[in-house]
Amino acid sequence: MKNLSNKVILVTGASKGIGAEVAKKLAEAQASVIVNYSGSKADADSVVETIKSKGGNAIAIQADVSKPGDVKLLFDQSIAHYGKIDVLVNNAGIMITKLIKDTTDEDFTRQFDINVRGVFNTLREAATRLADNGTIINMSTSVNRLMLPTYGTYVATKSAVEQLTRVFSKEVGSRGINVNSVSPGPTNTALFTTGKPQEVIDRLASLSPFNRIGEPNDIAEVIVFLAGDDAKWVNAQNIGVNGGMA
Amino acid sequence: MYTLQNKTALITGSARGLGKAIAERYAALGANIVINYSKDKTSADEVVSNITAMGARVIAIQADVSKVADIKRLFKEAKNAFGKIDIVVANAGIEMVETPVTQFTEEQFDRLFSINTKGAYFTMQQAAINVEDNGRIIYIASSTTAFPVQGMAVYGGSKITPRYLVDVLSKEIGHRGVTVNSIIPFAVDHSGIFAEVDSYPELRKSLLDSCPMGRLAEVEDVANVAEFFASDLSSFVNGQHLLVNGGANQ
Repeated sequence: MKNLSNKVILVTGASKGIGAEVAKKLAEAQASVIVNYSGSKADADSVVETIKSKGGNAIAIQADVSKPGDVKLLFDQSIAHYGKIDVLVNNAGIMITKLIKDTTDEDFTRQFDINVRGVFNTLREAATRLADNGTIINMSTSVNRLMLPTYGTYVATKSAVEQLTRVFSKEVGSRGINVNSVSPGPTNTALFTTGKPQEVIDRLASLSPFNRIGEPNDIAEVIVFLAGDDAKWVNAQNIGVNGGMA
Repeated sequence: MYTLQNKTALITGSARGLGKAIAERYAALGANIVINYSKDKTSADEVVSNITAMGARVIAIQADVSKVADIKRLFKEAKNAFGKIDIVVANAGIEMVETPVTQFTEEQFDRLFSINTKGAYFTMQQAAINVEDNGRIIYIASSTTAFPVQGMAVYGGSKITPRYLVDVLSKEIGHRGVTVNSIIPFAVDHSGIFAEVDSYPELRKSLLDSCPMGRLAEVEDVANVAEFFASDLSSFVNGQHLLVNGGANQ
């Protein structure tokens, strides 16, 4: 296992799904992990418990990333507890899949508030408060490369995240901070599978040469790599983690 | 650190530079190593000594990747030596810079395409035939294919074609659990055309200016990523092309 023992890592939206798996995997690699959640306190506490039961180090901190005040407090509390933040994993996000003609103003605003403003808020804090030689990993999506109907608003938010990633890397490179994004394909989490018939999931799985959708662990392994010093020269990149689907 | 214990890695063009750095890294992680060289036996033997000193098993095999028969022999001898091949890095290549389109010759074109393109194609073909299930095929590309630079028409052209093979091959052998990806290094200091510190000063300066991290790449930066692509961390990363350029614009 990669050793991340000197790293303090903040994972947003880490109470469930990929975020929870990422938090656990980073903790297994000895990082100290801040498990951020917005509404699901019980789930976040359970992630922290799981980590601690394996001898890891983690705390849960509530913050709605779409609110700048919350994000500032999230950084305040994280730094107060651990003294610093080395790695920021911008994982919090929501996905609403609807045809554009059926998408409401609220659907649009909610996705942009969490997926784009949320990342913007954390990057703005991180610009001055992330440790020198730190690392930022933003979650995008491989759907950006697939152009599937009903994903219009979602991919619009994630395309914005990829652009923020590229530009921000230029702005903080002088502090030795590298900034990358990861694009999971369809992944076996509640966010993705809820409401989808098995045949739809099977059809998406068949798009991958491996003939399966991803598991949260597939994604978390790549985050572990990017969070470590071995990935320092990987900067301003987007990595597809989709088994070769796109 | 990940272990590559019980794995065999074959790296083409590994007597020097990037190929050497990757071979030594895999050896440090416990893999059996197949060094390949075309002409520079002395350098290849040095790498073999380095790796033997690390306690890993290693052989050097001469093969000119522009010759398909040589590539086939390379894989055959490698398999004879270690019984199997798990990781193949298609790294062998030659560079040509500062050659405007109006000036390159047929001989230059044929030489670059026979080593860089044909060599990579048939190396990856043999890899596809010979690599174990759940193996790894890694193509070492060039950042000039992502950011075209004047004077690099033939070099970049010869390096961009195998990228397409990575895309197709990743689809064809994914069912065996084999991943196929490319690493796209940016100007690597102390390697290739920048092996000499004072080589190509203007090109060096313009590349340096474009990089937010304020330095060129080192071979270790690329070896780090080659380690990732060889390890279990990347088992669902397939058909991808990863620029390793510190965020540079070119």
